[in-house]
Amino acid sequence: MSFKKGLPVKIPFYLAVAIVLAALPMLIRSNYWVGTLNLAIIYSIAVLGLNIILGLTGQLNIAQAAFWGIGAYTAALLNTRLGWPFWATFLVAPPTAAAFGVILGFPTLKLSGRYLAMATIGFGIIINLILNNWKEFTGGVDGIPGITSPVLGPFRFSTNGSFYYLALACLILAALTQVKIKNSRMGRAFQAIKDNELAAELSGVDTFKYRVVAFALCSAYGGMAGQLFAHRTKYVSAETFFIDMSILFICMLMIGGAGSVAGSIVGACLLTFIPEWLRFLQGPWAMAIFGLAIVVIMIFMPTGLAGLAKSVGSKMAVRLRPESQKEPAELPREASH
Amino acid sequence: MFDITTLAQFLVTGLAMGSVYALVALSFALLYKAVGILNFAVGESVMVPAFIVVILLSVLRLPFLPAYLIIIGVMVFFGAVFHRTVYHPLRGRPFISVLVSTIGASLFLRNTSLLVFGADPRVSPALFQVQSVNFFGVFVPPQYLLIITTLIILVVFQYWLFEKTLLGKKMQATAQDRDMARLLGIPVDTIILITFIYAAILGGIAGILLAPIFYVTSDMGFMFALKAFASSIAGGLGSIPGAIVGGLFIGVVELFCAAYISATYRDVFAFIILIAVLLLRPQGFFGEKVSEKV
Amino acid sequence: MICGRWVYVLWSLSLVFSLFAGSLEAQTKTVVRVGFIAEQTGVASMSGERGIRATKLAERQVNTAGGVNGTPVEVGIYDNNSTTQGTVNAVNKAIEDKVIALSGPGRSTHIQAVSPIIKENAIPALIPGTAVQLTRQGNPWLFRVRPDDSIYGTAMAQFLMRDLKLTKIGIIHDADAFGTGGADIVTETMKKSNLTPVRRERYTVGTKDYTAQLLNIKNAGAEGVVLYTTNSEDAAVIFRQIKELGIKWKIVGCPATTSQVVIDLVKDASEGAYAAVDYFADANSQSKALRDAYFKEYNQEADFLTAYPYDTLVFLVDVMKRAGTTTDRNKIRETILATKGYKGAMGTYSFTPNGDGIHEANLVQIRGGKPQYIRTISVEQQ
Repeated sequence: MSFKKGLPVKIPFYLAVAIVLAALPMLIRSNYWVGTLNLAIIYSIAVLGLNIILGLTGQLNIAQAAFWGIGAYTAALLNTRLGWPFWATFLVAPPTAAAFGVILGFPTLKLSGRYLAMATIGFGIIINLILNNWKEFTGGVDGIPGITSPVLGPFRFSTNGSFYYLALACLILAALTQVKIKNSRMGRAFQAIKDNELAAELSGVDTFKYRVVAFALCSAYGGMAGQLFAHRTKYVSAETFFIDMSILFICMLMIGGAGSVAGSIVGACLLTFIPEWLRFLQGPWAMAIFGLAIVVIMIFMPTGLAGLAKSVGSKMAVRLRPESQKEPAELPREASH
Repeated sequence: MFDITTLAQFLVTGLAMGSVYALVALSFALLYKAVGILNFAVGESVMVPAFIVVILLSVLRLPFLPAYLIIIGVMVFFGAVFHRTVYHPLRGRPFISVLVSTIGASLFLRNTSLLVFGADPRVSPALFQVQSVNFFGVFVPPQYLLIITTLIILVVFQYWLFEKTLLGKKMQATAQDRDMARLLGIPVDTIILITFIYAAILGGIAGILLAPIFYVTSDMGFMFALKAFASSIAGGLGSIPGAIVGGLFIGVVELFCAAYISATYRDVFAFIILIAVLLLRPQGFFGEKVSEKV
Repeated sequence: MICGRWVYVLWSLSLVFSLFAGSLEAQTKTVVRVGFIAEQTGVASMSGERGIRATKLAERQVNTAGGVNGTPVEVGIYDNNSTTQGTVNAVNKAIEDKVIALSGPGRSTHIQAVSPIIKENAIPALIPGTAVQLTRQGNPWLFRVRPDDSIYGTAMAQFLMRDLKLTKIGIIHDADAFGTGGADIVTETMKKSNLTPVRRERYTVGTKDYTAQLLNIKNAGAEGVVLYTTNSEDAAVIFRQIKELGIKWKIVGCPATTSQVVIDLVKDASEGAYAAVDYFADANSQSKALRDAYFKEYNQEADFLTAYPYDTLVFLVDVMKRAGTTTDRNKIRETILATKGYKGAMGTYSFTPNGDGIHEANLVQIRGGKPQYIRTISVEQQ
């Protein structure tokens, strides 16, 4: 939908959303649930990263948790060993993760997509084992405790409620950046690679370069999410950043809707909250259902919930505003978000 | 430290572990060669039969042979269901779709078995009464010998199947060029189904062999799957002999590295080999030259 | 920008749900809530299940006896999924649910991670973790209900050197705080007798094959070996593989090696092995009572995995009775520290100012599938 039509309807809607978002911690009085919300936001950022490489560019990365972990450990180490504050680790963690992404991506992206998937598995395991065992540097299995809460000028973000705003700001930044990327030349190159890599290459797109860039962006997002995570939980330990989490990120993306910014966020939030709401769905129950959902979605709804919402939404739009039917025939520009 | 007995001990243990990796890698490579998919759930096709072995032998106290036959039957069913639900509906789509689907299947199977069988590690009764056979100071648990022997038998069987039987030739033809095979009147979908079933049976055999020497848990398949991937890549993705050699290679090298370099990083070596192969020689030992991106 | 308004609706709905879910959490009943951090799921769930059963048994017993001066006790089980991250979540949730005190976490690594949270929230936590530094880090809210590693580790090393008269000793330990700390203490104790371990091998918790480690120790000429394993599950594999490799060592293990989990899994592979344990069924009348009650209820042998959750709850109830409060955490804290000579199933509790409660351990040997008592060691506290 372009901004040209329906603008008056949209402003109150967005305003309402903004007010709800801003007031959320006050509305949800429980500290624990706000904490869970923060976690969902952090996951959303990581999944947004995954969306770039998998949703937009069509390459499978099964190591997003490793980049998440690299971001988290970078922040943890700089903060606890060198005393760097939040804003400093915020600036350094994503590029560090991206650097690792390039190191992994550069040699493997020269090969076909299958090899990338395998390589990311190997990379993720290696990173996890190093984080877990290099006691001198990473604290080994004991992890790194004592990370400080974010402090920006006169503002302390030490409670879940205050941290929420910080995390939300980062999420909005991440989401808007991605929307911009999607609608840019780079985004179109990604799409071309996803649709048909050979054709893209033949029409002059440097697929290798763009795939490396997509991979680096993905890992940068992961690093950002990791940095937030470290400052929120104030403790990092390698066992969190394991391939199981990478798989969960993939689940979140696929269920929410690969290729969709809103889908990435919705998927992350849903899969964080559902096991919490339905206590009996904790642990194995939730994971078994997610696994099944993936298979079902791949078969019937590959665009996930966002795709479903979009098709339902456009059908509803047709029915609600029949006058739009009378407009001059315009090739529907499916601006996928 | 480097005396011959110790080296021999490491070699035997390494070969035994490697044979297991090879079996799993074989199942994996078969599906890759036949239908071009990466089966992330290959480990679960080992774990599920292992649990069933425990149930049949420990709980229901069936004798070994009927239990094993039942498991083969179960795996036929498993392979067919897997094919029908996870692969068949997605058969036209890019391989990523199927890979993601198998990731979902793996997650589902792992957690469902956790719910059904519980989190306790299970013990399967040992096939052999004696704990270890002593060959000149090298202690070989008989189960290890069984594993290595089974691998050899399977390799010979598979060679016979693919090269000497009509079914095998049809399977090869389907793998090489599906459309051509269809034109030649080969029932491609059925052949693919059979391939899935055969791969599942291989997993079942691995599960049967493993149950007595590992404590069976719902996540045991996962690590085996990862090692199978590493073995396949090392041997050459899509190469059947490569999967076997890759598996044995990783089993042995991993153990030696664990013993002489660092035991805590034991699991890392397989993946270092994986990455190294991808960087230096992506086609592995026996694969065809992987063309650089067009 | 975003079509599919429904996506937003979906998202808003999901967030609104948290609102309701959040308000549903608040319950006001007159009970005393204790939070038990347990490995209900994850790699150590077999051990965790025993702890859950034991604490439930204790809950029933104290409530039958009238709770805390009439107020019933309710134990909330908070699952940590056997991971450190899970423990952080579990502890946060328990604190959120306004528990008066925590029983657990059980593992030293996990306790280390949540120590700042416990301190920040000023909530008493009775912990079984034995890594020495846990009570030496200035957290006044941690109370240890088992002997720490300086006692076990020293006892194990001394037993090998003095009783079994061995000089060539190897150590196999896991990379956790517990395993590594324990191995360090053993090494230090040996150093005092001018001995060094012939080989020290480390493994990551959850390893499935120990051939490399075991053969390295064997080739270094070890006659005796110290086993410092956090997980009983790992100890089980180690015992089995030692037997498979035909190695004949005198083995002295930490308490986890004698748990019923191990004995059930390895059958006779741990026969003859020694261990330093805290809980021992025949040690005193409380431990015997626990063994009988646990067996009657669950048809399983009690062991240290069951003893400390049981003891902790019974002890907490006793503390609250003596302190005369079920809400004042500071008073509870003071009362715990003032406890001297309390007799529990794990032994006699006398708390030192830094929070250590038990200062004795038992040496046992596994014979006939059961730990058989050898003697008790006690260490004077500074």
